[in-house]
Amino acid sequence: MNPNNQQPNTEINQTTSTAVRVFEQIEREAIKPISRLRFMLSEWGVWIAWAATVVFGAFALATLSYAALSANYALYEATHANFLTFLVVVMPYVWIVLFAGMVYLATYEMKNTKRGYRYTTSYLVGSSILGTVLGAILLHSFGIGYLLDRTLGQQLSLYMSMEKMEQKMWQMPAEGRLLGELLESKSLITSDVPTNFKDGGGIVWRLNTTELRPRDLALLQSGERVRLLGTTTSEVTFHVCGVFPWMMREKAMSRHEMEEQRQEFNTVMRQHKKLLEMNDDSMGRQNPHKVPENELCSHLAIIKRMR
Amino acid sequence: MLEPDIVSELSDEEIVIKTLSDRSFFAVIVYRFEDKLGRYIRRLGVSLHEDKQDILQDIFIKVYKNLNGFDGRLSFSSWVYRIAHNETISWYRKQRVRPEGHLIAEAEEIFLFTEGGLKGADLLVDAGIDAHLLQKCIKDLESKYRDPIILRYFEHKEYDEISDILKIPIGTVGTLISRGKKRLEVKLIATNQSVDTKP
Repeated sequence: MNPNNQQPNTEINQTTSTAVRVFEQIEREAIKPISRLRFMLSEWGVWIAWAATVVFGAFALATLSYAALSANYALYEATHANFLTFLVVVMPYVWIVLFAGMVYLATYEMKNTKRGYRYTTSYLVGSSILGTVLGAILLHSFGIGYLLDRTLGQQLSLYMSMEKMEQKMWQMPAEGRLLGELLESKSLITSDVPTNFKDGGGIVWRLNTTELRPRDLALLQSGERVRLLGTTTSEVTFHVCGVFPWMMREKAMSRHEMEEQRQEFNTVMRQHKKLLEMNDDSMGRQNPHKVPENELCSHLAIIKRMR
Repeated sequence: MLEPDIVSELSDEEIVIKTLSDRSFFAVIVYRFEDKLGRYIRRLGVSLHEDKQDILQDIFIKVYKNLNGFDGRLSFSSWVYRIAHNETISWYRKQRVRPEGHLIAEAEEIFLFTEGGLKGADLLVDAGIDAHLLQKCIKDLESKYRDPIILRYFEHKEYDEISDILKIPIGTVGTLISRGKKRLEVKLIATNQSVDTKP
């Protein structure tokens, strides 16, 4: 039989050898078309997996943005030698990797939908990123990034939440940094009287606040959790040079707050630096072992770094 | 079963719907695509008649099994060609052999391709490049370039159909065809020169 010679209107009556073999196999193996439902479930499955990946990616991005925004850029000199070393430490690598992984997976899943192959890679990646970013903005506005970061930090000992990281960076008495709150009644505190301060490790310190500005003193007196910058003068006494609020909370610090804190930090540091320069001019290089107690702040390592 | 005249007026997509309720309509699909797919398989490098028959049978069984998965937004022909392409590639993998490139096209088709498909066609004709040499060079192209060229110039498919068959974006089809043709021209000239210089 030559199919080229056959007229179209007779095609229903044609049984080619291939057709015979195909029908024999269908009969023999009782082959039936796979149900439509199975195809629909399979297609839905891919889209559900895509949606789940985008949602997971949005959680990762919301936490990433919370972590990136709440890192304390304003006081980086207090904890690190320069901005780069600070950035290397505070970058939320886990979330960056997770976010990138989720975008890759979402792109792969979208490509495997029925019509996914028609779109270019940039379109697929772009739409996966767009879905993730929109989800992240929504989650971020509800404070989910903070919640997730904090909860994971509390539940998983290996997970370094921003809160844990800040605590770790500021609970370093030997480096001149303390985190905690006052134990005394607010009314008893004056700059002349040593004050009891409980740090994050539960140790009670006697604070010397003689070099504090009234504004710093007021912040300390508020009884809120604060960060102290200064130096230890004995095993239980800490000479305070600056007081900064504890900013770990649901909403990441706003740009305005960050700028304000940066300005405060610079003012305090400039003040101490000025004192050091005045002393240098009048007395030449000082012997660090003979620094008067009311000038300890001008000899902090951070002041020398910022010179 | 409907009258033959009515059946011949039905589109492939309508035949698919009819097949789902009456299996015998599948014979129409086999009849309509057997020759086209046979030629396509041969262009993909399957030379033995028995092998071609086996692959064709596998293709139609797969088409029958997956009829409910046919996406009505595609043309049925593109969908069937996609299955044929995948089944042929999978047959090669199972057999652990490479495409033989026995006959990509008849001499007349090759001539038409040279005229319409290649930029330097006149030069090639002047250089005495024949159908056999062109077939060899097409066969030697990487499959990512060869497949769209075969579909475009020998199966006469449109870009959107090639996109549906090979599951690649339409823009990529154009790029691959254009790059494939350039590579083919370079290959043709190089191969022809090496043939000429042989003692």
